Amino acid sequence: MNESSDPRVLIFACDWCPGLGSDRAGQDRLSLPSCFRLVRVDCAAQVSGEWVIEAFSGGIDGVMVMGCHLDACRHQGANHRAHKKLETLRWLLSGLGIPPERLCLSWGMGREALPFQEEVQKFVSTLKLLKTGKEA
Amino acid sequence: MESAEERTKSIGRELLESGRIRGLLAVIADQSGARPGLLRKPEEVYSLVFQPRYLLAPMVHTLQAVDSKTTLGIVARGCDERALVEMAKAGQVDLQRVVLVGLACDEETARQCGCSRPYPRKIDVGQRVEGIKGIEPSGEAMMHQGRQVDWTAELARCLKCYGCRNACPLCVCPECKIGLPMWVQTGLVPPEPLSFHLIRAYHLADKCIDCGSCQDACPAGIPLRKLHQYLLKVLEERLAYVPGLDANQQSPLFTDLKRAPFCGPEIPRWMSTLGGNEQGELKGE
Repeated sequence: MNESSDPRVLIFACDWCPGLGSDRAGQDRLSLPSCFRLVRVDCAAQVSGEWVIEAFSGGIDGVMVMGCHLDACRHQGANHRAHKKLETLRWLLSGLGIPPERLCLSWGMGREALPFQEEVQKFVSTLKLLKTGKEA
Repeated sequence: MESAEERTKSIGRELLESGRIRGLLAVIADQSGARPGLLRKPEEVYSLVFQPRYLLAPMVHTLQAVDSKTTLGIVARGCDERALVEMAKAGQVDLQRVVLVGLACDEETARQCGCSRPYPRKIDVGQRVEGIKGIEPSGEAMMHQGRQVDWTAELARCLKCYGCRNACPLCVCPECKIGLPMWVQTGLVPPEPLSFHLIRAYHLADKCIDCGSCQDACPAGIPLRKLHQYLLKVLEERLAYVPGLDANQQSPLFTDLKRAPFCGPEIPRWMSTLGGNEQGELKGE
């Protein structure tokens, strides 16, 4: 498993709100945890359950799917459907005994740097808690 | 007093004689045993039996693909009907060209199958018996039931025979994702449980009609049904959707949140599963 104690996080961010938010966070030199990798997608609804499942299979500790505000998806409310699909996946994971907290769905990032930083930091600390909770 | 089998045979004979249907799908028995079959002539109807219970619905799709004009009959149990409804939603079956002879399962069959709805909507033959609740209705008990099974141990027996996928009436994708090396590693047996079984359960989330074909087909005796039943219960609770009941009802996974009883009439501006935002908490989370 991991040498370092940092959880491995994979973030799927849609090109619009969270993607630009992450860019701004970089421009503003905000302090972000170093343990995540960001993948830009055209729309968060592109993220299929298989991608998340494959990530967990491959050893990723947590996956975040970030998209725009629920009433502000430029792809005709695709984030609604993405939320329902991935929420179903969270329930399925929970039924198998995998903590659903490992999949985070966040809709509501504007193109703002600070919310991006907060969400990522919150998620990483949730994962760290899960880890210590398990080891304790 | 006519027995249920006699009644079914006379209905079948009548449908064939009148020419309303070209063939009747049923379980038939001859000297080689019982098997699913297609009865073409009215006089062949004598060989119709009820046991063993066998899901005949997938054959409707196969036969309709061969002959796109004629009407078929089918001795349909509750599970057959639900399968046909869901297959119609997926465009696999034309319900206009299917005549159902509704068969309500008897108590012993219902108990053996552990079925929650052992009767079709319109019952032509048989007495309706109430179903068995496979899973506790809600909350912690429900979550617990899914986890009651030691999935790591159970799924470790999987041979990757694809029997579950082949037997399932709703596994209809021409290019099945779990057949692609991209998602399921070739040559690895047992497969990564997350890849194979989780993807399958996730894809069938809003389609599974709890017919039990997957579990029946599994040579390793994995309790696959429990996985699907758990998710179905969650869907029923959270999204008020039960697959297989209404051919006109679209799955909630295709509609926006205003139409699913999820966050209520007001959609929060910011919704995050991490919580802590104004109106951020989902109902029921």
